[in-house]
Amino acid sequence: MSKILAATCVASVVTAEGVPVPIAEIFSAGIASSEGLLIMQDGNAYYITSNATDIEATLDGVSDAITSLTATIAQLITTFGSFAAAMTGPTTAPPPTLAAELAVLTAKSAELTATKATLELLKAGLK
Amino acid sequence: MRVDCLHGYFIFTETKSGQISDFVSQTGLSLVKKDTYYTFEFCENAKNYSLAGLPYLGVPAVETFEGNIWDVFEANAFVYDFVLGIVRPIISVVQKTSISLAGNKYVANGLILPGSITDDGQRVTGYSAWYSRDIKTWNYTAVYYV
Repeated sequence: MSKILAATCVASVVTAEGVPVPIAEIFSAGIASSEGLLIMQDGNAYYITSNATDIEATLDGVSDAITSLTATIAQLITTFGSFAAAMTGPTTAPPPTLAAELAVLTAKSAELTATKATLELLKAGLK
Repeated sequence: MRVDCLHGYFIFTETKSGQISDFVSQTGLSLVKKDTYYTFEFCENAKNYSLAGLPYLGVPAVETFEGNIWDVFEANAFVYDFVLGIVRPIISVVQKTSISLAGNKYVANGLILPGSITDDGQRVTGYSAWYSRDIKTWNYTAVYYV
């Protein structure tokens, strides 16, 4: 027999029904604030966080990364199309739009780097 | 009627119909049905767990514990005081009681208040008893001490 209560964990302090439960053993990283379940059995208590928000944030991050990658590929297609359109004569000079196109690609690369950093932060703050 | 006082929590079991109503009318103490037995009305909503610091039947629990209600009583060292109608720490009970051996059973003056202290200084934590309706006497088959 056991009892399961809704609980929260903030700074590794588990709280249920408004009181801290210092004997609760935290079965997760316990770094970030979380909501979860307190499972009581005899004189023991265990806290299990809900991983739903962790997973949700991870999927959001991955989704953002895919969006950014798609946009980058689309930009590459546009850029090379622009190059091809500009290569109409015997000239070897770069097309006049090159600098602007490269700036866009650099920005897209920076977005991907930022998304990666966000995912790393999420990993470090797992509940 | 049989009564089991387990760590200060009471379980009344009717062996013949009408015993509960007789007990209530004779003592003025209210009993309620809980699961398969009767208990004092005050303990009707006793939970099978306690969280240290959170009131348990009106008294701050001292232990975080899950189990049978009587186990929760034991873990927190609580007893139900049917005289005052409250749950209280067992150590706060100063009632004296005399328990004597009579043949193959023990007898006492009425229903023993859990936590009571016997003549030889032992503190009662629980017991099993039968109520003799004819002679209005509680016959104790077992008495448990701290």
